[in-house]
Amino acid sequence: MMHLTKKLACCLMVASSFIAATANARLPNETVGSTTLPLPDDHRSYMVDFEFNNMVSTRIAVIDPDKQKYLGMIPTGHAAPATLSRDRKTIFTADFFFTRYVRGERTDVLTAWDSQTLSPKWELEVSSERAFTLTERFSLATSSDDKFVYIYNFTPSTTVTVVDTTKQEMVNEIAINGCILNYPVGERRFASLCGDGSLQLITLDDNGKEVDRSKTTFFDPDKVKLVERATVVDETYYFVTTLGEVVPVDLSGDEPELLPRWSLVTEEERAEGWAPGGWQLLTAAPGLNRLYVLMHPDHKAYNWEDPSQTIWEFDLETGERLGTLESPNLIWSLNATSDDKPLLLGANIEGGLEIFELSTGEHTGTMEGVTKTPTLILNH
Amino acid sequence: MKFLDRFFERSSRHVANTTGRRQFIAKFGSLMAVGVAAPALLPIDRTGKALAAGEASAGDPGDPTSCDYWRYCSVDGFLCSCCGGSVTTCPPGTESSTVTWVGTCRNPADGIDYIISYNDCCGKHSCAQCACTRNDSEEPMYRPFNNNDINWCLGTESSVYNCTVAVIKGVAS
Repeated sequence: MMHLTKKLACCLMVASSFIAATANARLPNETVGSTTLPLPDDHRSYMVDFEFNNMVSTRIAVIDPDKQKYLGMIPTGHAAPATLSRDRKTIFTADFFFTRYVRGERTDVLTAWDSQTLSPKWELEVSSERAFTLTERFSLATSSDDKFVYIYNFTPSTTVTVVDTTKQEMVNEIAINGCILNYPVGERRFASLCGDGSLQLITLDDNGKEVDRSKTTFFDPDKVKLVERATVVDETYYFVTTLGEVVPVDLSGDEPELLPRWSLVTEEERAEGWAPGGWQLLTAAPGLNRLYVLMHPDHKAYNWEDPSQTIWEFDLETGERLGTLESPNLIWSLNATSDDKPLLLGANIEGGLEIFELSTGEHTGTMEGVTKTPTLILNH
Repeated sequence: MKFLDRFFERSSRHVANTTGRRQFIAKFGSLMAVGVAAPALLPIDRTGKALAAGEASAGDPGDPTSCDYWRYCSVDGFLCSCCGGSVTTCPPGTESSTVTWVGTCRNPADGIDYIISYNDCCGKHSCAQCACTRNDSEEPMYRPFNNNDINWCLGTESSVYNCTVAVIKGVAS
């Protein structure tokens, strides 16, 4: 017994000496490195942060929702709208800045950010007319081949600036009187929603010059409120009225094709007070062919832009309601990823990101406080 | 700014039944513009100087720092009366917008419907005091003059939004 105790004591002394020697070893000098991200995967997410309490200095938070990891940040000027290039290499923001923070000379730029370094690749000065609104998803958009970027302007007359990204030049400014926003369609078209209830479609040539313009009667603005914040699958846009009628339009052909309309709610549900509401209140997951909509159980007309914790899931083809997702926090804007194993992402009103795995319908987590006032989530 | 119904102070009568909404109001601050409740509204070129703010009176009852004040029936943003200005004057060093909204609000003292011009005061960033939204009939953005998701600091030296005033422009017919 005594022999064993001596052996143990000996071993402990050796071990403690080793630990002490290790602890006293000097750590090597280090250098500061920088991080380069991989090319964005299907779930890379961008939260557009409007920051109501200081809209001068705004940002986009870049997030990996699978790892629930904050990847980096893109600083933007004056609540800039943002859009993603189709090749995933670039994030475009339409910023403006004053030389003296809130005063002095105003400079508007389209900034092209590298999606791996999150640094500007180039910028182009454009006319100082960019619309300053709560961030609209379709106020900044790319053509499907990334050649053109469309910037929505509001002074309050409305125009669309056309930037050729290959030349890094502003090639046109197109008046869209009475209409708003620029919903991109294919390589050379964009649509706008008009106050008279029509949908205007403008076709460009390869130089960005307008070669055709048409208007199609789309809805009756005296009878319904059509929320301008649509979602898109391929070239079919899905709008919704404030009472819950889905208004789809296929813009892939020569002329807009108005598709059959259907309702999110039954008459009974409407009578109970169910109606859609939110900022970006609907999104589609094309991999599942499903539509997700923020719904209010106690809807009143004046809260059509309010957040909700309840999300209804629909089959996009049949309009059948498939289920309900519940968020632990109020969500103001939705976006689903476009892959076959999609996530549904929600910007909550605390500035956090709600994450749902759509194959299971499971809420997989909340990333709290990653932004201040998130208005939109963008995905590739 | 209806979208901020749950973030902004709307008015006590709207939010009293949902304490949760006050939480959101506290979390989210600002936004700009002003909207309009009444139909057939036109932007007003407000080039004249605003009248000096008056104290509450029998003919103009209420607290101009409260979202419940009658003139704020279509306001949406920060109340200039909490930001160093008044119900009719911009805070020091800010400039009033020349393009704006009007609303029609009923004065409880005389029962008359007044046309109220909501001018944004511009040139300094968000005041972030007394956020208030009471626009009950906002239209989508394709009717911009009935939409308050837009910053109406247009035609000003700076497009930076600070707060909003509410100026009587006449009697609604």
